[in-house]
Amino acid sequence: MKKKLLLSIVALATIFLAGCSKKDDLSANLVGLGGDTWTKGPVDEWISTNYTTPYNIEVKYKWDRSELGEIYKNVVPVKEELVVPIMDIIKKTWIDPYVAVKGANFMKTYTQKQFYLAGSPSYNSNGTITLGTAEAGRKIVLLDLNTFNPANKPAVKQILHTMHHEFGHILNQNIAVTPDYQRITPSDYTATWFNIFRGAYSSTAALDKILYENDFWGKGFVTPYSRSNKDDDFVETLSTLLEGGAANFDNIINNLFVYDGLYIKRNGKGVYEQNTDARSKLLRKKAIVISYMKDSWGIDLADLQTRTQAAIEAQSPTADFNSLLGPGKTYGTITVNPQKLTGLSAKFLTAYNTANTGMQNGMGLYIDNISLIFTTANRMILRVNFMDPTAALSAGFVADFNYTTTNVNGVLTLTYTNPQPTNANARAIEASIPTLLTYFNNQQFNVRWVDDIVPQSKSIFGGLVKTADATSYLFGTL
Amino acid sequence: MMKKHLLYLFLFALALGSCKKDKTEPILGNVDDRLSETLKAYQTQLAGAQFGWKGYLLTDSKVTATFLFSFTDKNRTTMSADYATTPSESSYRLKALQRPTLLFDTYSTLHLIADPTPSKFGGETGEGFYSDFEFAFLSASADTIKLEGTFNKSKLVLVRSKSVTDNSSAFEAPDNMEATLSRLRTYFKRARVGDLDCEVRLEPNGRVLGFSYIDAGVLKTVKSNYFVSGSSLILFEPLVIGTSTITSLNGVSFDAATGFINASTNSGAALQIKEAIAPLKYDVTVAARFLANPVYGTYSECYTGFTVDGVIDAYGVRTIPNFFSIDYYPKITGQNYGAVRFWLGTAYGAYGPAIIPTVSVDGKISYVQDGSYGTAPVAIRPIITNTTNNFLKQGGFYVIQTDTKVYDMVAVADARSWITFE
Repeated sequence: MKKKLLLSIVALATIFLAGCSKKDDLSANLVGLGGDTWTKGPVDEWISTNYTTPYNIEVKYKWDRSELGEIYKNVVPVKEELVVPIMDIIKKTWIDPYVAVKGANFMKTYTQKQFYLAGSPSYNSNGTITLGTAEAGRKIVLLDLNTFNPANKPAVKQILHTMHHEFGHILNQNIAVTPDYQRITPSDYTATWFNIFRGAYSSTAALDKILYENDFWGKGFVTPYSRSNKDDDFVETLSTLLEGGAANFDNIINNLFVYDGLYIKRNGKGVYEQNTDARSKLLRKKAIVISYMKDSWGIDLADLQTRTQAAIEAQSPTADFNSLLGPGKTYGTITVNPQKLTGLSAKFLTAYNTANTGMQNGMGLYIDNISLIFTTANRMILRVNFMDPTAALSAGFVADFNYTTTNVNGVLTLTYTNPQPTNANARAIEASIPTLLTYFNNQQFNVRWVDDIVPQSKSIFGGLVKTADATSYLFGTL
Repeated sequence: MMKKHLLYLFLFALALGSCKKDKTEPILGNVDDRLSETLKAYQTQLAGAQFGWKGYLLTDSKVTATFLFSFTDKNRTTMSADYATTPSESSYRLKALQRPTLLFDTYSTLHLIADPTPSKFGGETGEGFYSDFEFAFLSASADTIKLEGTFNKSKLVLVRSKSVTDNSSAFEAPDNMEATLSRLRTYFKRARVGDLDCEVRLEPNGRVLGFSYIDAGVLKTVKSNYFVSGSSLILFEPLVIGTSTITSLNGVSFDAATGFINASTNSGAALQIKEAIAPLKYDVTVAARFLANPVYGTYSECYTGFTVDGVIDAYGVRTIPNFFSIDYYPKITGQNYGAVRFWLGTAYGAYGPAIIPTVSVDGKISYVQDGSYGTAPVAIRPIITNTTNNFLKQGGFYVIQTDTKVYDMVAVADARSWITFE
């Protein structure tokens, strides 16, 4: 009986095994398996050399609707001739600085693995447009690239901001930032951050600007988007530091004051009340970003920032300041308000402060700020904006003093015009501010950017530096 | 014991059953192999045309455009279009989507018309002209490839170019066709298709050909957009008229001696299009409806003035500085007259007639003048006078409704002048 059973089992097993031996033909080439193919051209070679081979990043520029998040939107592909310029700028201002600081292996490990490029924006039903999306550190979709122009610095910076933002997410997802960060502004994160835009606050443009800025900067956030949540807050601070540069960030902080309507609150001597709360929040956030990059990744943020800014400047150079200042040119006025600036020379500040003290002691007035106006040929107007502490903040006074100028290749010679034009305010305060007037009279200045004095400040501050004394200078906002 | 046998029996049955193999072989070969062969064949066909291809596009918003394409076997294409005649190079590839699909996969002249940003080429924000750059193959013969956009369902027909001359005349052909077709002076046109008398509707501007015929006492209308290749007029959609099906008119020419347009249909049958001064069947209710329901509440707009003997804007209203539209008010509120006003973008010109309409029992509108809004400046006075006189024509106008809110007014006397309000 046992034998029979064994035999049966063997027989059964044989039949089972033989019966089940089927052969499927697995040799067929599946269409599209392994991705689309086409005859490679110079663009493909460039991408291979600069992205795929060194960093294992795919740059997809040929149309593939399935790569778009919203496949039902009418979007058109990118212009082929723009692919290399765009990706070259991204490489030089995003990948290269990181590689220089941290080495190529770092970027090979952590970058997202795919770019998808498209030419037009994606139009949304609410009237807004989408310029780019990122998917979980895996893929970045850049839209609206057909308008790309390397000479358009704000547009270039916009793309870089996106890149540094998304890469910041990747870093933060690998090593989380300390929870101390989110404790700095815990109660001001909001899902409706997109309601923070110019025009949402007041029909008066000046007031709208103040209230708008107060709704993020004034609360200790570097951009409106950073109010959306702690993670985006963190990467916005990081990307703003990298893409905007040091001077940009410091300038944001130096302009945080407490407002009363349209005007900054101040004491009887015109000393502004600072928004110390927002200033300290932003500074603490910056400090955490710096220590995070150092401690978690061994990256010196200042070094990375310098390299990123140098790369942006190299890709999209700024013309020298002298060529941009004057009647009908990009800039016409330099506004110097020492309460909003750091880094002015001691020699200029002495002249300014002495004049201010002279006004206060002699006339009971104070100087709010001065501006240097270059909108007339061969002339610089020194405009002293002064206030009466007993009058309303809206009642400012203006005194104009004319200087006759000659400008030889950026060397500006100033002479106090004689006679001065009729200007009652100017005549009234002239005797009280001699130090300020003589600071300019019969002096030679270099008209130039001051990025050697305030690093990364091109296009933010323009200045005048005495040719005979490089330690005597002033600069201001443009 | 019996139970055990039953068990074995069951197991053997199962074992034998498991041996059943599916012997069916795909009779046409492997699906993927066939698909790649098809894609390859299409690419070879596209790249194999010595003089390239003439492309005829009809977008979903019924905008037509003519292209010249040449394709290489290296995924490159050079194209020009009637709206951008300088040839430029970009890329293409074939891909197996739901159907074999031709993708123009980097930006090119073809994408302009689809661009969602109106500042690029026009069209609607976010939509452009509802065109495509991903086209699925519908059919392909040696010389003609029919494609359909996968996104907006626009149509693209590729016709193999025969010669350099064929290419160089591609963009002029529609203009020449328009000139030929406009030789017929009357609004109404007749042709005999099979055994049916048809009213022919020709819109050279929008490239539309239509036929209306009476079927069991009811007026039936069929129409389609067309494209022009040489002296042929080829329809995007076949038109079925009775028992005949028309897909193209070939050898379209004007015979000055008879005043007819001669052509032959795709089936080889001769087709003559003749002038006519009355509609095949007239809807007498339209005139009253047009007067009672102006398109914009109190008025309707006309952008091109009167067409006379086939010449659009024969009196030149579009040459009036800042001219935007002729606005026709059937009745000015509070007055017993209506008016023809000339809108100049920000205000009406201080001229133009006040006119009073009468609708006859057979549905025709005629006008009498009841003053004017002033004397037109000398430079444009003939334009205003001619336009005014045309409104006052003896016999009045047929009113033909061509779309929900589009009305043509056609002179009853000779049907040689008409005006469109929309």
